[in-house]
Amino acid sequence: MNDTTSRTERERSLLELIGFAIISARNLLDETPDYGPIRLLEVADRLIGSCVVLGVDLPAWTADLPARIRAGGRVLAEGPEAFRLLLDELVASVIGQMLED
Amino acid sequence: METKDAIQTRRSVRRFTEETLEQQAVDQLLDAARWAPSGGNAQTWRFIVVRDRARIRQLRVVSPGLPGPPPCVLVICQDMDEAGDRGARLGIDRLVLFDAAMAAQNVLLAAHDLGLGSCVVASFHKNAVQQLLDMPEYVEPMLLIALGWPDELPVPPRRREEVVFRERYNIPY
Repeated sequence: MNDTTSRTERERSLLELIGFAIISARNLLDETPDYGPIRLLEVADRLIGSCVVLGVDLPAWTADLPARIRAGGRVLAEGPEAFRLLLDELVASVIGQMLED
Repeated sequence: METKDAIQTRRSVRRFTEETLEQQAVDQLLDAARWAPSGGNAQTWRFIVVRDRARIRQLRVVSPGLPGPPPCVLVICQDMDEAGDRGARLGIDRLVLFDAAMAAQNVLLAAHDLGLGSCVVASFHKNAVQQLLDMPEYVEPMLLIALGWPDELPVPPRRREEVVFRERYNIPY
């Protein structure tokens, strides 16, 4: 396998992802509960980004996920129902993929 | 830009282009920050300009609220020792917060006037930011501001009218 990504960059990408998840967990003890789902979405977004760095092939259905996830913060500002709808749509995407297996 | 327009058209921007900020623009933002009011004119804030990409990546790990990545992060800190010397308990408990916020607002409006996008961030791990930026223990980060050329134009949410009262609380304005 032709690995053109430096080991340092791979390690850094993993450290950043793991660090973000752990620091988010700690910070959320002191923050508004609404931030919880947003942070989890961001972990998913950063995981997708890390897969690119790590050379993990991502399935085609994940292509529009980052944009939909990043819309989450704006949608949350519109109100809880709009945010719930966005999350339901993301869940539907995931379930749809699982049912195709 | 008229002040009223700057206030009412500024939005929090969470997506930025790759374009870097010119030093002149950053200097203007720092001027805006330093000209903010502070309790007793104590000026106990300290400002750290972070533009190194690797350091910004580190900040994004320990600052879950930091969007982007932006080309620049302005860290608004307070010298808590000086705040205590100048303002006693009021200084340490409240003025450090108020003064940091007023400086931040100046920066947001100045950035908007320059066509830049910005986003204020309060969600970060204080000790981690202190260590990453080599701050002494008595200097505490209060707010981060992500700065850059905007890659989005968010629509302003509705502003509440019912928050204003006449003469006394609960008398409609």
